[in-house]
Amino acid sequence: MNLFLALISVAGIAGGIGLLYLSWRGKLPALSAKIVGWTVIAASGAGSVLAWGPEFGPLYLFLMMSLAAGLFVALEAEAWVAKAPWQRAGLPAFKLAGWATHIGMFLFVFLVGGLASLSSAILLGLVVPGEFVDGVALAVLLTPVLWGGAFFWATAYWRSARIGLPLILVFTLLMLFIF
Amino acid sequence: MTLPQHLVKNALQSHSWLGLMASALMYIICLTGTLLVFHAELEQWEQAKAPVAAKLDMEAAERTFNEFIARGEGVTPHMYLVLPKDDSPVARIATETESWFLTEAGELGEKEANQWSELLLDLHLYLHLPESWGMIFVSALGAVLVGLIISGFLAHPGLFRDAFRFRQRRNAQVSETDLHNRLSVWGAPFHLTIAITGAYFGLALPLLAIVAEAKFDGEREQVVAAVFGEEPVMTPASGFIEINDAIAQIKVMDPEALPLNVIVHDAHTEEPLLEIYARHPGRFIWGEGYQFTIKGEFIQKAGWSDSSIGQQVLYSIYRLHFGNFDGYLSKFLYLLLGLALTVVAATGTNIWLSKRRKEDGLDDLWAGIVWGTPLALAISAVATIFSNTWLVELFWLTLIAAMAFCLQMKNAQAARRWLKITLALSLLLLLVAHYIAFGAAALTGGALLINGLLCLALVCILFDREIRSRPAAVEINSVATN
Repeated sequence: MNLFLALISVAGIAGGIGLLYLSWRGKLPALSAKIVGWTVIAASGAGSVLAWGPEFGPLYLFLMMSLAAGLFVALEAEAWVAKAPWQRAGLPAFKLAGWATHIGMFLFVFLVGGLASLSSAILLGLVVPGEFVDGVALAVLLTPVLWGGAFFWATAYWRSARIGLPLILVFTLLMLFIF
Repeated sequence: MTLPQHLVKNALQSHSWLGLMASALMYIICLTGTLLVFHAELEQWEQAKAPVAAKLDMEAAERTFNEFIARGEGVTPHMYLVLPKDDSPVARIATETESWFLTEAGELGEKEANQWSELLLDLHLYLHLPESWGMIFVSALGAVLVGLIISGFLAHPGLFRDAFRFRQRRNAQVSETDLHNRLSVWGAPFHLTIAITGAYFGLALPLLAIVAEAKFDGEREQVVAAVFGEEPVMTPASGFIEINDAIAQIKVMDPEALPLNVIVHDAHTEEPLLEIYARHPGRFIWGEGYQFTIKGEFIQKAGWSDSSIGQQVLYSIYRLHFGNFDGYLSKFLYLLLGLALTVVAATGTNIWLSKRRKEDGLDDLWAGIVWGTPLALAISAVATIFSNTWLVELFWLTLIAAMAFCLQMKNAQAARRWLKITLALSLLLLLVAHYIAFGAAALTGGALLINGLLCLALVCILFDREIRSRPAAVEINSVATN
């Protein structure tokens, strides 16, 4: 690690986020502050790569951005006030039918969505040109994204998901084992 | 660009349900994962008096390792010599089931006993469920986290407008919502990285099975060989295992490589393979594997450092997930961001509870989970100083007891206050008990770091206003609403 470049990079990231914060607060002209802010952040990203190398550098850029933004959000925090308690009710009379439906939905996506995501990702990994192990790596990275998308699809658009996910599963398994 | 209203509405519904379904388990996984960033230090903390071997006598260690294998008793197919590292200056000889420390002089020392660290790791990896499907279940929660990130962004039309907003002076719903949104939006790259890399651990076996069936007629060994590289065919050999000779060759091949572990594969057979894993600084890969005969003749590199991109990516997932890739800088960054993710998990359910405009048993249960989990970890850690039995059972019983206590209190704010006080007392007891048990060793190395973080946690809890102020009495409405 190049310490000098690392410190410059961190300062640049904080400064860039600071410019975005000041433009959000209206203390600086919005457009120019945003352009300069993002430019400083991008330049700091380059500095981060030079400081920490091509693997750690980009990750540190994102991690430092998160922390810098968190600091500025903390500046916005108002004084803490005790939360007023709500009127108390008896034991929860939650709708069991609603929970049972969603638990069932969860299990459906866990099994069907999980297998569909896995087989889709593997199919894509095996089909894309390149080495076999590159395809496996692609499948490994893509599966949780597709599976997460399946969870979103099922909970946001259940009617289409309950038909769509099994169809995708059958199609991708057929493609995998026949072709 | 404005998102269609129906998309925002459906995304919010999806986010709410996914969050509620997974909240308790997600919270436990996030909290334990954050603590596990310091796994190496926790192991040192647990056995603070274990011999430190930062300057290990390698000649003596090599002799001791060879003697251990030669005696035959307890030798398993894989035998390990774990070398000291920056964050873990201990050396060990290990079988597949047991492990013994080495002194700096290379002599066999006490047995390793880190049941509490194992409790924490097993809780994170598979929630103490049966390992075979527990890990897959936890991987599914990684996928749920991806779903939450997708739905969270789509459900947040005011993403840029509220970029730095944090209205803590408003009611609970607004302040929790602002905290949840700010931490989750700005931490999204980290959360996505954790979710995707975390899902890998449980998906590896199902993926292996499907790929084997699709491409290799069900032969799983062929998939393993294609992904991880073929093991060389060894000729019969026996005698002294030339570890130091092999390490010297590694230093010539790759001067920057730092040896981590020595593994003897098939140690109980006549064709053993010597493999040394070495860290490559500046890389996410766990290490490069250098394969030798036991006589120290170089065979090949495993290829993790310079082979295909896919192999390098797969071998980088572990360090990328656990944050142990760049010393204490990456660890402390992961600690802070991991805590932020844990707060996101907690505030999500807080938002839903506060939207209901009433308090009931669900508020109590949630308070019990949020504050009962760290309390259960603290109490089981206190127990481990005296005995290493029934730790898992103690953890779960404590958590259930915390939830039962909260239900019985019928006042979530009061229950939270008492749990925080109990947690503070437990942390204090833990610090005192650890010092009494280990003396000056409690103030060195990894133990000092962990005790320092415990002190910091204790101070943060003591400064919590909820502890210092009396909760308001809550009027009980005997008629159940909704």
